[in-house]
Amino acid sequence: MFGGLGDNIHSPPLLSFKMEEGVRHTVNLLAVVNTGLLLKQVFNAVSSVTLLALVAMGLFIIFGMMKVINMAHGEFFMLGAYTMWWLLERGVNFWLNLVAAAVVLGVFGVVVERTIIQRLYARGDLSTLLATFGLGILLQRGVAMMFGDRPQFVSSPISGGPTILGNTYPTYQIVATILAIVTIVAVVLLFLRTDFGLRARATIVNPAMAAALGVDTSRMNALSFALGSALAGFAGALASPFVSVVPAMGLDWVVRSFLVVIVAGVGSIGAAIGGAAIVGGWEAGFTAIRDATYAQITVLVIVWVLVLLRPRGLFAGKLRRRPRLPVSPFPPSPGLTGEGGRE
Amino acid sequence: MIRSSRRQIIKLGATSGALLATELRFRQLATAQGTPAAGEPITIGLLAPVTGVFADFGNLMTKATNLAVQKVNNEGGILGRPLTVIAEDDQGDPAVATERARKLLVQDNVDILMGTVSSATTLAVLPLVDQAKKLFFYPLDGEDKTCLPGGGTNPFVFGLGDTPQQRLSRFVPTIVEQSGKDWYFIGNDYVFPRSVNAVAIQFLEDAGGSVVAEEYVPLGTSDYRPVIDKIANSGATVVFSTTVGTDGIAFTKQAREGGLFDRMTVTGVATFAPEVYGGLQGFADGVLTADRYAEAIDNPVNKEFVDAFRETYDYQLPIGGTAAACYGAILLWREAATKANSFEPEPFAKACEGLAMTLPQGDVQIEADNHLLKQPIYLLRIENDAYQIDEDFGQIAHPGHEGCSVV
Repeated sequence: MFGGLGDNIHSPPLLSFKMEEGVRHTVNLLAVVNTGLLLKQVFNAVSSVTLLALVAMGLFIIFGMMKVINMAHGEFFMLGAYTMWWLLERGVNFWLNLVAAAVVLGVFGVVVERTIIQRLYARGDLSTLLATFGLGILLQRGVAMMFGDRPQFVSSPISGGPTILGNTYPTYQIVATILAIVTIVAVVLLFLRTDFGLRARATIVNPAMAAALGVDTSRMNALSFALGSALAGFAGALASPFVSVVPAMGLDWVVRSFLVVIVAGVGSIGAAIGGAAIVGGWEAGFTAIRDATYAQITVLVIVWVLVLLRPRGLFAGKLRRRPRLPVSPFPPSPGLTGEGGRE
Repeated sequence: MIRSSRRQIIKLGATSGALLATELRFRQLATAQGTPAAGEPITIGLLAPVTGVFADFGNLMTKATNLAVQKVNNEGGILGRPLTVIAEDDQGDPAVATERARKLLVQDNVDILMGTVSSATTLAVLPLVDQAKKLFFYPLDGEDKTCLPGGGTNPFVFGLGDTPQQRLSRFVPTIVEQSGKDWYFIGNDYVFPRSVNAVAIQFLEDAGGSVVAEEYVPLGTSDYRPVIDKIANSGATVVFSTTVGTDGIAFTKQAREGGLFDRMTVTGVATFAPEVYGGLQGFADGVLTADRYAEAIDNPVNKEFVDAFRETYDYQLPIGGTAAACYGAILLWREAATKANSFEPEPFAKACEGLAMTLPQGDVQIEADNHLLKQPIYLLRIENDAYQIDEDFGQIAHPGHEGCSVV
């Protein structure tokens, strides 16, 4: 009766035995410490963390400023990659396209904020969440209808790379990591050292008070949405040579970016970097030591534990600077304190 | 005025002359190919995921089926009856596939059902087919799904794709001979890669090779660099990839950039399928893979198929086994129905068993004992944006119902 099933019954134990053997061998590989590999894996982790930080930072700015959970952030990343592909097909220079992707998505961000998000602030977080979720589906299917679901081809502008201790360091990966770091530093400086940054931080800490003190919060919202979108677009274009460019490509990034936000909290712009270091660093490191499945499981456990320990985020209190609001020519009224503002 | 009208008349005459000539040629063709089909149409239910993860496969299936139906109808249909296609989108989702298959089988009362891409959707459709007592052909490659849970062969189900046993039995020993015995297996973490690898490992060990490691990465991962560097430093001489779709593209791009191709032989199945070639292109240059079909196969049926497919759909990428199998299915049905002189499930299925003919992929035969297609397997080398045939392994049959996933 079970004659036909004989083979099936036989194969699973065989399979699982082999798996165990494989895993054990992988662990052994690292037991014999290979300096070249170790160095390369550290580089991989840094490279992975910086790109994730770039994507997460965009999400951060939008959430921090406007309390809008932008579910379409992954699609903005995807649009950045498609902008890169579309322009490359038309013979435009790769490096120019990186800038173009940021600009296109920045402008797109303003349009989205003015036409959709702005109308929903008063309705609360849930309606903006649903609206951006819908927008994400629309963008993904729209791109699929225009260009198909099939993967598009983007190659890196520079191939090859130096070999250090037996491992190849792709030049493009080095350049992309440096570009990501430079961008992150620029954004942090923008927030900490400029007038825009001051107003932006004021809006994050207390929008009502900032508005009362003369910050044009509506303009700040549009600008920050543009900045957040531009970062996603730039990251998408930057990643396009080493990932597959398909309409659904944003999912992996947006999920991990949300993990970053959950771990880090939204107190300050620097939290994005800390959160990305934990999430991206753990994933890359654990994948190197054991395997990717366990890396992705354990990172969720870490997020869960951290949320239990610090519900408001790991860096919510620590990294948050004391609110420095723009100095008002008028002394604050003793009655006007706390969250309430004029409302 | 007169001159211009004369010119117009000349133009008109020339045009109508050309039209007449074309018309005549068409008539000659029609007479040569037999009378156009008339009578009660035969309805084909096509279950193809034209949206979702497998949308590319679904679109290719639809295109190839329509192309073959058009050809067969132009040549007199099947038993003088024209074919019509009713297509439904299963979205690659077993629950949707069940519902759409029921619609096709019960509401539309189709004469025959073809389709599904993922094993999960194929398995979801099987019970409905048994219930409706209608024939079902699945065109995709993958493990055997034509057996019955209690043993024996499902009388209603035929598999046109090759199984891992067929695809790998000659391929694995060939690569061992060319590139070495120490293999690293990397795949996505779900059923297909694990079942393919189980088969591949068996062939590897039979050929005297050994497994350096077997590793699985969750579907939807975009960063493969840590894994790639692990492979690069593992001492393996061959890496066998079953990362699929977008994951396979990310893996290949990062492996190429990270220098893995310089350190060992990178091969695999699914990762390097023609269906995803658009995303791989130069990154897959020089890769050896095994497949049941390549455009370069030299036979008149394939030439006609490739030319028609390219021209009708203005298709630029390499054409793969999915499209070829759907096109071939319609030709198989015509042959079987003619042999049985019936399209009723029972005599038709009987006529299918043992049927041998030439399809785009070469000479094939539907095996009577397991309802799977004995077909040629090719060693392919990806070069200059095409899949070149390095070696024709010849017809390979699947042994019985080994590894059948119907339980």
